[in-house]
Order: sequence, then C-alpha cells, then structure tokens
Amino acid sequence: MKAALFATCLGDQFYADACADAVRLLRYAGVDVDVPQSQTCCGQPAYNAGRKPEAIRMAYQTLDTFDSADYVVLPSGSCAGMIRCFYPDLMNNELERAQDLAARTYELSHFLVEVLGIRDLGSGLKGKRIAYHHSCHALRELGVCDHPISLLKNCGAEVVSWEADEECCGFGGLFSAKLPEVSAAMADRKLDTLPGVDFVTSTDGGCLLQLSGRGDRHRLSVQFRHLASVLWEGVGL
Amino acid sequence: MTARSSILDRVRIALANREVVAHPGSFEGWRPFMHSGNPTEQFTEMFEKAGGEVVSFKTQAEASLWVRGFLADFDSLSVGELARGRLNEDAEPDKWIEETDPSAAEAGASLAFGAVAETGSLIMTPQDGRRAQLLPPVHVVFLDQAKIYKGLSEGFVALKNEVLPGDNESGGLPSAVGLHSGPSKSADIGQVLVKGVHGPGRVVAVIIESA
Amino acid sequence: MSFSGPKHYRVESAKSLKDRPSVRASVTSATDTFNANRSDAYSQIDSDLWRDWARDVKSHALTNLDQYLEQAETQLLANGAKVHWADTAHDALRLLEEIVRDHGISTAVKAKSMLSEELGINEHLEDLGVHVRETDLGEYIIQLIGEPPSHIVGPAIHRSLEDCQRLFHEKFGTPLDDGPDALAATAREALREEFLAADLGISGGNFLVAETGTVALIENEGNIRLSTSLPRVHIALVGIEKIVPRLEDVSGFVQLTSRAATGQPIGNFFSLIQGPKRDGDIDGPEEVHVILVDNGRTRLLADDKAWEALRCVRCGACLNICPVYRQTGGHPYGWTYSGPIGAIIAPGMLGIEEAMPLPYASSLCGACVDECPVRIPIPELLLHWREKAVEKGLTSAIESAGIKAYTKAAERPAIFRAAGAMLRHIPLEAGGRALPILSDWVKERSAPKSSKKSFMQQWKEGIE
Repeated sequence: MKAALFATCLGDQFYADACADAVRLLRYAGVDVDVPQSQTCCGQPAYNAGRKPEAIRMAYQTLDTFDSADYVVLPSGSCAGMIRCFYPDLMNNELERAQDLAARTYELSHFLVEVLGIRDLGSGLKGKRIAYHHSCHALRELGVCDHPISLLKNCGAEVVSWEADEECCGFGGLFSAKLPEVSAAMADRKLDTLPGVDFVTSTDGGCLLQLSGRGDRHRLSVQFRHLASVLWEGVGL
Repeated sequence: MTARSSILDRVRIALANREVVAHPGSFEGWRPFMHSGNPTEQFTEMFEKAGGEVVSFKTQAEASLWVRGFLADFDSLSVGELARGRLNEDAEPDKWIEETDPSAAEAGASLAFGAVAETGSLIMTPQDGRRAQLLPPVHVVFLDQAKIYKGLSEGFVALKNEVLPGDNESGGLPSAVGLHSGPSKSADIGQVLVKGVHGPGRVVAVIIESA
Repeated sequence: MSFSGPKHYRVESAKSLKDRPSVRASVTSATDTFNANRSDAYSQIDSDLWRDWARDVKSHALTNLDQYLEQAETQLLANGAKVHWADTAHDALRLLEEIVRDHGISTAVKAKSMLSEELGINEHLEDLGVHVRETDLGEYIIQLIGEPPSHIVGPAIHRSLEDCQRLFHEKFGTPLDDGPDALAATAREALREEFLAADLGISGGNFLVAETGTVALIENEGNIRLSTSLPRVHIALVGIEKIVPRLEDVSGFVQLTSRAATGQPIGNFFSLIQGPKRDGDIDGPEEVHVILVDNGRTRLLADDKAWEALRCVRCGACLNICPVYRQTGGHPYGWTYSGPIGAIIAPGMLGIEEAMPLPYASSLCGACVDECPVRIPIPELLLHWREKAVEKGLTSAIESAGIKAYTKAAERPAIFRAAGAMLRHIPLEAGGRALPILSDWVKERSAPKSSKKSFMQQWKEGIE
C-alpha cells in the first residue's frame, strides 16, 4: 500500500522528529511512504482567521500536491479535519477533486486503525502511565476518539483517566496569540487537572506546543510528546 | 410608520429570498417519554424525583380526612376556591377549615385541574386562585387520578376542552395556567440547592383514585 | 451596573483572570454541574431526534415569522391582552414609560429576563422614580452588588457562597456564617413584602405561541409565577424570535429547554399566560401587556447565514461547555449575551464593528455545537463573522499582511522552506518578543522549541 505523508507546516518545523517517527511507523506497517516536496500548509490558519481567499489558495496548493496519492496521512487531527471537513466547501469549482481528497485523508492513528486494521503495534509502552489529550478537531471533526487510546493501551501503556481530557487546550492557532491570557487559563485548566503520568500525548503538535509551553512556564516536569513518537516507541524495536 | 409595520416590513424583506422550512409535525412520534405504561406511577416517580411528595387515597372522603389532619399542624391556612368543597366534604360546617388570606397562611390547599405523567406536573388554573397556589410555604394539592394525562400535549388538549369548552376566541385556555412540578428551588447561592425560595418549599400531591 | 460593550474583551478577560481568580473557580464549578446534569438529561432521551425536531420547528417559525407574529398578536388581543411593538430599545423604554405613567406605578417586581437586561429596563424605571426589584435569587444578588448577569441561566454563577455571605451580612446584618438555606430565607422574607406591594410585574418570555397567544415562562423559584400573578399590571417583554407556531410545540420545547439548561425534565414552575384575569378567576393581573421587541433581531434575520442563531432558546448550554467562557464567566464579553451564542448574535444585532472582537473569542473547539438543543452551527457562524470582519477591514494590519505573505510563500514550496529554516534559527524565547503575534505568545508561555533539523531536511537525508 502507498501513502503520502503530509507533515504539515507546524510538524515540519517543530515536530520534525515525530514526523520522522510517523514515517517509521507507516513503513513498519508495510506502507510505501512518499513525501511530496510541494507540500506546504493546508490553509487552516488563514481559514480560521476569516481569510477564505487565502485559505482557498493554500487548499489548491495542497490539492495539487496530493492529487495522485492513494492516501494522505497527517500527524495532525486539526489539519486532517481541515481537508476532510472544509475543503469541499472551499473549492466548489473543483468539488469532486476536493471530495476525493477529503475521502483519502486521514489522521495517523485513524489511518493505522481504520485503513490498515492495526490493533497491536508492540509492547514498548509497558509500565508507562500516559495521559491522552483529545485534540478538538481530531475528536469532533474526525471522530477520532478510541483509535489512539486503544493503540496506546495495546502497546502496554496505562492510559489514565483525566477529567479534562476532552476540553480544549486553548491553542486554537492564532487564538493563542490574539487572546493569550484566556488561552493560557485554558491550558492551566488542563494542567491543573492532570493526574500523575510519565507523559502527555496527543495527535496534534499545536496542542502540545501550547500545553508544553505553559507547562514549562509552570516548571512542570511532565513531558509532552507527539503521538507518532509515542506509538513508534510502542512498537518497541 | 408604526413600529409594527416597520418590523413586519423588515421581516418580510429579510425572508424574501429565504427558503421556507417545513414544520416537522407532531412531537408525538417519538414521545411520550414514559418509564412505564402507567401514568399514575410515572407522575409519582417524576414528581418525587423533583422533590415533591405524593400520597394516594381510594376516595375523596379519605383524602379530605388526611388533608385536614395534615393541615391541623399549621396555625394559619388558606384554601383554593375549587378545593374548598373537596376539603370540607363530609365535614360538619363547624368543623370546616378556618381560612386566612394566602399571604398570611402557613399552608394552603388547592385542587389541580389535572396532571401530566411525562413531566410529573400538576396543572393549576386561576379558577382555584393563583395566590393560594403560590404564597403559602406548604402546598397540598388534590388530584383526581382519572385526570393524570400521559403527556403535556394531552394535558393541554384536556384544558382546552374542559375549562372553557367552545371558547375559540381565547384558544380555549384559561387566562393563565401554572404547571407545578415540584417545590420552589434555587442553586443561585454558591451553587447549593435550596428549597422554598419564593413559592412553596413543600408540595404534596394528594391523589384520589376514584372520582 | 451595565455593560460597556464587547471591545474591551481582551483587557477585561485578562483582568478577571488576574484580579479575580475566584470568578474562574466559581464559574468552572457551576458549569461542571450544569454540564453533568445536561449530559445525564440528554442521555435519558433520544436527544438527536428531539434536537432535529426543535431545529426544524424554530426554523419553520423564523421563515414564516411575519405570519406568526400577526397570528400571535390577533390571538393575544382576543385573549384580552394588549400588544405593543418596539423597533429599538428606546421604543421599548418609551412604551414601558407610558404604561407606568398611565397606571401610576411606583413599585415593580421583575422576573428574570435577559431581554430586560438588553434593553436597560432597570435604570430607566429608576430614572422614572419607580422602585424596581429583581426577584430571581441570582438576579437579586447581583442587583444588590450592582453588577450585570454573568450567565444567561445562572446570573450569579461567578459569585461564591462567601461572596453571598459577605453581601447579606452587609445588607441585612446576617451572621457571616449563615448557610445557603438561611440566606435564601432572608431573601424570601425581604422579597415577599415587595411582591405583595408591587403595582407592576415585569417578565420576559421563553416562548410566544402564535396559535393561542400564550407567553410561556420556565423557572424553578416561583418568582415568575408570583411576578405575573400578584401585581395589577403585568408586562411581558418578548423578542420577536421567540415565536413557536402551536401550543403542542411548547410541550416539546419546554422539556428540551429544561433538559439543556439545567438537566431537569421540566422547570419546577411553568407558566402559560394568555391574558388578564377573567370573570371566574379568583385573582391575577387586571392588565397584561406584551411588548414585541426587535432591537436588532430583524437585522440578524436578514443575514443569509447567521439568521439560524435566532433559533436560540437561551438555555446556556453553549456557555457551560465553552472552555473560553468557563475561564472568565460572562462579564468580559461586555454585552448581555456572552459565550458562544453571544459571540454569534452580537455581530448581527449590534453590527460587526460594535461586536469586535467577540467572533474571535473562541478557539473553534466545536464543543458547543454538540450541545445546542436547536443545532445552531456555532463554529460555522463564528467563521462567518470573522470573514465579515476581514471584509470590513476590522482586523489588524499586521495580521493581514502576515497572512498574505504566508500564503504567497505557501504557494512556492522552496520559499516556504527557506522561510521556515530562517524562523527555526531565531532564538524564539528571546527573539520572539520582538516579533508580532509571537510576542503575545511568549508572554504567557515558553517559546516553542524548533526541531534541530526540519522534517523535510531529514527526509531528504533519509530516514532510518
């Protein structure tokens, strides 16, 4: 099976190692991974800022990049949600192509479970206590809920219950810079309710930047790690 | 131009090119929300869950006897216009309840028009007196079991048909209807539940099984 | 006492978080309770079916609004009520003033009504020399404190028990350790006298039934029933969007709204008011006036997308679930309606210029849309208003230039990567403070740590 990895702009710069781990994971699962070089940004920052014309331009860039891929896999629920849920509306001139891309696009753990039918990756997380943060867009736009959690559990991890696990971390892209005080309070709500764990993981680098940035400010010792890296560790090679 | 016509004009302009949405029809298809097929049981369960009390008697005479005993614990009493006859049924005139204005009463008795099982609600009408239903801290309400309707809609239909039959002008409803589904309550002070804030803090439904 | 408009949202929200941490604690705890109760109440019914039905009834009513308003008016008049129409808040206040003068009214009791807050009823009546008393316990508390409501359903949820104990101690000399029961009893006694003495009762209306001319009101305390039963005159302020076609519709809406708002099957008191006291009634008001208020609603109705927000039944579920609202409560929004619903109706009712920056006061997490009983597409409408804000040039020039430059780069992958490489080499913790957007980011958090090598670089070099 062939799939193209869309590292996303944020992944490329800030979670490069996690993107590399996503490649390793996919290869381990028998996928022939390609990384098209013309990929840049899905356009979500512009879209959420109310700038549709700019978002449309980036959407076309992405559409052209991944036109020929069998599947497009992203280490991000938020960018995958942008393509799956909003591209068809944005590109009504090319509705069929947009819908086709949307149908082929998956967040990484979603792809592993739904498309590849993987349940067990390995046992590399034995003895680890992990808190899973639901990225809002993975959870509510894509319906990715149990997929990552079951993969983590099947790697031997204990995924602890967390009162605020489904609450927004306060990242929200530009939101976190426009209204930094409220955004930080939202992260604090997550961190204040966080049980004792070895690390926090999530499908999305944006959430992790927010939570780790705020955690670091509070001098918390807990680690915030991208799901791709945690799952790769779970393979236990 | 009057405000009326300017508002209606603006509404019409706003709707000029708007697709009209059809009414989805009755709320009944996937209701009633009933735990059991028995309206009395359902009413009792819902009313008690909301903090109300329910007692049940075979006949009006037994119910009245119990209520008179219940009210004997209070120093001042008010009685709704429709409840008076029920309350004093079988009692000698010199044993009739001594009444005071609802604003001064520690407890009051009323007669419900009926009740709704689905929501556990007593249906109260102004023919009985609204002050008597609201001012006393303790409220005892006679309810005929035959008039416990399954759902709210059935209760509304019964109201239209019985209180003002044939009165199409006012839609057949009384001037005001109050549904009482439990005691007065609030959680506005520190999110702690408190009963008896303005209306009755204690409400007892007295079901009469045979009308 | 009153709101100063949404434009200070950022400053006010930051101030609330910094200066009044107890607000965040109270609001979080209260909304946790609301959320748990609603979730339980939804789980007992087929809430998807209920909500589809409610959405369609409301959309039906709104897309036939002119006819239903006329029908409601006809029916109310037949019931013996008086009907007035108000274009603006100013009109509504003038109508109120006329009724007050005609009836020589000196005291009024008010049942909780967000519309009355929107119109500024209390201040106006006080200027006319009318003593106005809020009777909902939460509204009473904030009236005594002198602040506006913080939540549509629980106006005083930002206030702790300790706040109330201190307030009652100051106002009534009650012991500082009086519990909620004792405090409520004190309020009951004070308010009972006012109920019995009042000439006028003022209420809002949850629903206005066109078929029967019924103003329907949901509550738990009994203060609405008292305010609409005891005084000789009752005025109901009703927004024109409150219309439902048939009495039977109300049987669904009262249950769904109660479940969404407080998780109850029905509010403990539910009033259906058709008109004034009739022959054969023991008591009740001699006159019932219904004031139908526009005040920006037709402006919202005219918006091809955002009109759907007029379906709102003011249950507060979107506030309770909103992680943004939960940090501060409603005051920083600077307007009567706060939270997600406030952010999508403010631009339509006040104009987008006046409503800024509320459409941006959301992380677009989408939690609200899953809870709304009438399925208002809240995140979509937030985006809709953001687009309008951009069209009107209401966003910052730096942001605009930044996104334009970013887009240009994103269309040229080589440039995009070169820019990324540059960014990666800026020491963000120190250098970030000098950059727009990032400077606000690092105020509250440590700067993001760039990867040593970009993923694209790693890919080029080969991933083992």
